[in-house]
Amino acid sequence: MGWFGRRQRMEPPHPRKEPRIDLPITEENICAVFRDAADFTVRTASLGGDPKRPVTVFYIQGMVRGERANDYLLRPLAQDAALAAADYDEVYRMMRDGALYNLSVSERTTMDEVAFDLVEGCAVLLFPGKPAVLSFSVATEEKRSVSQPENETSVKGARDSFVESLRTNTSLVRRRMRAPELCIKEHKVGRQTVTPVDVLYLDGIANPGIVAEVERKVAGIDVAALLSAGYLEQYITDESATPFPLTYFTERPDRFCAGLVEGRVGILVDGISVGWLLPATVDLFFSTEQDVSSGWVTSSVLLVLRYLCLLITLLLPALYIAAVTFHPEMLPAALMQSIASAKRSVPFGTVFEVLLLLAAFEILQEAGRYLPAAIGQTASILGGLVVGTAAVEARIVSPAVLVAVAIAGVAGYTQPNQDFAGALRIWRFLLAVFAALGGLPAVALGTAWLLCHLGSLETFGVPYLTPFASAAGEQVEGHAVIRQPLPRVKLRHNYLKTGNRRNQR
Amino acid sequence: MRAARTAALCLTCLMLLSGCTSGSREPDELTVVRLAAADSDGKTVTVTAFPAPLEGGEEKEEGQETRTGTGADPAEACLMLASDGGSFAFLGHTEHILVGDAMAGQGIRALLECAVLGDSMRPDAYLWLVEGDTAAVWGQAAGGDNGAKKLSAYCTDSGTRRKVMAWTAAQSLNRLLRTGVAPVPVLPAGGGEPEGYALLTEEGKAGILKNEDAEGLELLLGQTCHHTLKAGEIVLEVVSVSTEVEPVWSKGTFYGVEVTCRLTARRANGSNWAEKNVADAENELKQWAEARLNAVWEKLKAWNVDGGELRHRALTASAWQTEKLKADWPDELSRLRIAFSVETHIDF
Repeated sequence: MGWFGRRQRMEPPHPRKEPRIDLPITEENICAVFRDAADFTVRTASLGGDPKRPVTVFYIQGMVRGERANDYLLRPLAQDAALAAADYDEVYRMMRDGALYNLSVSERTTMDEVAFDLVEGCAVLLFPGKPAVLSFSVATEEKRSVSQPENETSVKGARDSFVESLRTNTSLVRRRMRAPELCIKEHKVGRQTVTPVDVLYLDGIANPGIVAEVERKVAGIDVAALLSAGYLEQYITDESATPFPLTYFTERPDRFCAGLVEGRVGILVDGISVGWLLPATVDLFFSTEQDVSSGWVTSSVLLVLRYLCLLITLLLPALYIAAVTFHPEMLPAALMQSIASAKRSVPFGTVFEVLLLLAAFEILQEAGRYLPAAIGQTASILGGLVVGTAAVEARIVSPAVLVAVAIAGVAGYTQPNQDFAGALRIWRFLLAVFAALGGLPAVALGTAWLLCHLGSLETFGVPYLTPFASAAGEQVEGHAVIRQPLPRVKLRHNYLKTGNRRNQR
Repeated sequence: MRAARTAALCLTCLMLLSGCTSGSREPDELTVVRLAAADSDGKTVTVTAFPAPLEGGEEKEEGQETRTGTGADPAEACLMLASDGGSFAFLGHTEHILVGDAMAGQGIRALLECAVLGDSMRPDAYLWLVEGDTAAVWGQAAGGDNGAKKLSAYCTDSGTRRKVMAWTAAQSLNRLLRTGVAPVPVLPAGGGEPEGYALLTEEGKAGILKNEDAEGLELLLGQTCHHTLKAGEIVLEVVSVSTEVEPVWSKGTFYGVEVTCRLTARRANGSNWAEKNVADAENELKQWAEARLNAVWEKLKAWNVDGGELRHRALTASAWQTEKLKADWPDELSRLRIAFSVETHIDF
């Protein structure tokens, strides 16, 4: 019996069918492949307006841009004098070599290529008797426009964010990184979705070993569909028994480019409006692009505050339980009396109160996430009133516990990365249970377990706790807790083993 | 394999922590005690706890009345006290421990060890001696927990306003082990203000210093409390004292100690005093300090107790000659040559 139920007998993976469609390129075969596709369209055009010289045009409605196909494909076919005067072979050659005003024209010789081109918004021209077709890119550019990031707000930086279109995202990266050394390697992932996944890195800076490892892992993803972020994150990371994220994602192109310049490898996926940076070490989850925009003193103070809030959100409920139930001598006498007074007539024990409030906090958060905006505010007020006020007045919980849990919860909101904050919330529960079992020694044991767990994690060959754990005696470049002034950050991070360590003069 | 390892780790944690849950208590099950009194009748020790009232509650609520525990020694008495009554008397917040006259006469080492090394009281609770009566009587007269507030006010150093020097149980035990004597402030039986210092040894009570002798002890120890004196027409307030003890060597042999006391006082009245008045004031202050130092030294010599920690401070001052100093230090304080010098400074 495994952790998630009875293990099923594993069927061996189905081998990939290569080629996917093993048919010669004919009009009948192309129509047969898309026979049940209502948006598949076949049109016969006359070369030079002569019905005796037909050319078959295939396209998928909704994927092609009508006016582009009309103006740059069908009109020259019908009206261009040079094309009208030439024979089929000559016309085929002229069009293949660029007689039509189109950025992209490709000759396709296999049915697989024809099918995928049609799905991606190309118009395919089939000449009678020809075993190959010409594919013209006339895809529609309907996509969500570049907007402000929703989760990574910026005060002094750029306001654009990634969108679902892969090419738009790569263009956002290219606009910031004009170096020709920016490499974009494309892979197709997902047997049914055939989703383009781009691996980006700076040639000469990124560690070739990490690049190769990332490409190997992306190429090795053999799934039916790549539709959400989890499909990528959980397949390219080795460790599954941890709630801590081993990949770093961002909505912001400037943050993404900053990671590439540091020597990390980036991943962009078509249909997902975030970019990933690898390897993802723990200090990455505490820093934001705003840290670089502000002065080093302000940024350092905010960084220290985030680390302090990490300790508060993780340990405050556990320390409250330990201090109140096991070690009351730790608290000042006046505070102890205040807590004892507040606890009068509350029927539940301290441990149950804390765990109950932590659970209520999580429930409120989860409810607020999926509610429509129209009723979300009402639910928040109800939750705050019910949990915050009524529960205390009804003496279901004591106000001291409410304060401790609320402070811990709010401290957790200072974490810039939501995946990391989610992991902290889980460990907050665990440490509270530890505190209930044995007070401060148990909390210390739990914290040691957490540190051991974090220390055992690795991301693409780099320890997760870098730079705290394995700076190998070298001074950390840039910042881990205290941000250095940018003119002093001369070198890239040592642990990334970049090809060029020098960052600036 | 990994799941088995994780399960084994969890079981080990549970096993290690399984004995800890019995040590937990809810805060409303505790009765917080800030003032405790220890008395002895020669055979048994009685510890009396004066519980602090709950915030916003009545003075006398269920579980808040005075509790006592009796045992063969202070530790046992504390245990008996803790479990007496409807709630657990928590002595971990005890701020002040009153010691009865009889108990002090039998030696306070056991009580100090209970407070410092035991897990009932706390080592940083201040120690007080109730002269001529049981400590519990002072606590009752002072109003129970209100007595703790009064005692805190007496020994709080807000500038130079504190009335008396006070030492914690840990400090007193350290002194007792180091010098054989621990000074403890003295309270009168009727619940009044501190009147001086008692010098307690392991065997009992060496003596009590009051008035000028008590002031001399403070100067000798380099501490200052609220002192004013009239020097001619000028009223002076002593604001700081520092005392150094230096061993004096003669031809490689320990001769005696020189005690240098530096006082700083400030003018508490008037302005634009003439230089002659200032000089006179400094002389008065010097004589005031010298008189008190000599007075307390006579008492300490007579009782043969090193209440000023002279030996320890001399050893600290000449750390490179510790062994020789230990060998040459006289057994009787009366044979110790001592010279007091006082330096004064008045801030105008």
